[in-house]
Amino acid sequence: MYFDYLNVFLFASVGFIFVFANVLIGSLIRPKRKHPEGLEVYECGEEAIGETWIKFDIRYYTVALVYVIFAVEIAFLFPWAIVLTDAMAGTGAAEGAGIGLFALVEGLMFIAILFLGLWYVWAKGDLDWVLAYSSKEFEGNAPGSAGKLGQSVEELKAASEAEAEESDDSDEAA
Amino acid sequence: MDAYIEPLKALAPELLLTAAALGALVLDLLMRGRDSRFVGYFTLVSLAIVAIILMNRIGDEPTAAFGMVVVDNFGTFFKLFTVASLAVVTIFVLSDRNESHHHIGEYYFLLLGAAIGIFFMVSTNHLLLLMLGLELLSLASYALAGFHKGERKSAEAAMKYVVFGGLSAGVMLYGISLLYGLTGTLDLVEMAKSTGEAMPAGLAGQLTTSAVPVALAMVLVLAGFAYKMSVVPFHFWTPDVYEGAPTPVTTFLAVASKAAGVAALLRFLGALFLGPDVQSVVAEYGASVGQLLAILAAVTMTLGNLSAMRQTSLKRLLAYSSIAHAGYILIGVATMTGAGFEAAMFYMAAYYFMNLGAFGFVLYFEGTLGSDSIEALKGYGFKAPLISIAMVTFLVSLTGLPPTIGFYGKYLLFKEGLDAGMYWLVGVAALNSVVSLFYYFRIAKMLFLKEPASGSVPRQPLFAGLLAVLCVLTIYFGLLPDAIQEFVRNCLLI
Repeated sequence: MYFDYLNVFLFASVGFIFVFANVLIGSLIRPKRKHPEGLEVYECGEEAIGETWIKFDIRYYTVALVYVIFAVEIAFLFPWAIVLTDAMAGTGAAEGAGIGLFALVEGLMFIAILFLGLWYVWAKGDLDWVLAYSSKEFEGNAPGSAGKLGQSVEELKAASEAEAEESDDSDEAA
Repeated sequence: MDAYIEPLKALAPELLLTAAALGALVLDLLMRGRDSRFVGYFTLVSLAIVAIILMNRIGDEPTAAFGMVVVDNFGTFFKLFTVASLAVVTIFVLSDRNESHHHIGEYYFLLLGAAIGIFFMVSTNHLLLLMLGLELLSLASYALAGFHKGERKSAEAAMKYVVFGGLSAGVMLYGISLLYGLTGTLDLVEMAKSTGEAMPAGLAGQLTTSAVPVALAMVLVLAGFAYKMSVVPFHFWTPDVYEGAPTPVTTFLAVASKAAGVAALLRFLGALFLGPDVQSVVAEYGASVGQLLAILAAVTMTLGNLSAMRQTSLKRLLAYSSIAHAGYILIGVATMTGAGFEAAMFYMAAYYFMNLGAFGFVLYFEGTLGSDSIEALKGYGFKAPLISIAMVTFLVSLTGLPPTIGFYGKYLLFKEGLDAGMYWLVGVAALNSVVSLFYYFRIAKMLFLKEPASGSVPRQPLFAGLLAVLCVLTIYFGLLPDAIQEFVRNCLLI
């Protein structure tokens, strides 16, 4: 056998045990002090407003996608640009390969295809920053009242405070 | 310099398709939506040119390019198949009444992009390029399935397709990585040829020393092919995607994409187990892989046919029928003989005519009535007799009754199955054909034996003409299958 599966098994089981052992030991020896502040998302600093389950804007997604395309383009073009000098002059690693013109044309075609794509999305309006959605589309989709479009920060804050008071009351009653 | 340009000539069809795909985008931009049909005509012309180049290649000696691409008749057969089905799909897009022709350049761009993926998939013995081609096809298909972004069903179809596709691609890649780890090469011919005495050990050596990892790798890689062909248990995406995607896209997935899966599977098995330099241990192992495929074939056709019986949507019914047909095709593959592969390829050709026709009918009917439920078909045969008669022909062919090409295709598959000694499998397939008769003829009954609802059907004469041509070809090649059989046999001589 070229594979020694015992190694794999040992590795996996040690990894598995390690995680749970640490969690167990941690829960046994850590101090247990329960304050309401300790359970907040940001223990020291900003007070959290509303829930984390909000729909966030898809506009950033478009920007990120376009960014990734051009980041990949640069990742391809850097090595190409660096070896191109050698390739054109027939020096260094490319000596006698005669690859110069071919490499240049190939790189330019790559850029041309990417720019064609950019032209297409631009002309079709996919790069436009969408200014507003009607708030109706979002209603009912977001769980809880928080995160609805059209609510200002103050309104949200007031809503969450009211909720907090309600829960305090119920605690006292209990 | 010539050393870099010379191999590109072998890639002429692929390069031309790339240029056509980009051209479709540019044309769409230049037309500014004035006459979107023009982009479709441009696509058709490009496909015709590619087809001519490919036709001229039939019978040429196999050549290789860039160490990965193999240009041979087997690949050319499936490339021609892809181009021919894409041409029909393009006509479907042009006649689709539900298509808003918004962003139409992308439609053709994605279709042509998927075709480029198929081209690379079917012309390589190298697992890396195979995977890249498969991914290119898949990515384009995901976007195509969700092409009608506003429609909930279309978006759902795309989402399900992405999740299933991503998972099975991952599984397949893992299998490939295991094969690479075991044999030290990604080239299938190398893998099967190596004697196993020196490192890398080759498949022959690994089969004797570590059979379990080899079996695991085989199953994982086959899972990837099974997903593309929608073979049980990797078929779950098929009905939902077929139903939600725009009908021309469904046609593309059902015909060209499935054929690509079959082609890649045939190439994989052929290069690994049936090649001239294969080690005897490896060839014997091929027989047991064939046994596995035989079981998959039986399960696939049975599940496909039984599920199809209860469908109310015509597109879903055809989706399950296409799962069942994947099972029939697998009979030929499972025999692990050249003749069995030939039968599978012939059945693909038969599948081309009858399935394109059936989906064409769905598109026509959906465009005129705005629904694809079988109930809505009531009495459609009296309103649109020509295409309804054509549809009945396609149904007869799908069932596998004479005098259609479907009958001859099934006859070949059953004959090869019997020759390979798989009596039980052929028995299951024959029983399945009887079951399929029930649900195919439910459609025919709706068309002609029910009273029509009021209202008339708008005419699309050119589209109906295309369906009529497909119908005539289905019967013509059913009576005279020699031409196709000869063609397939020539293409299989790798």
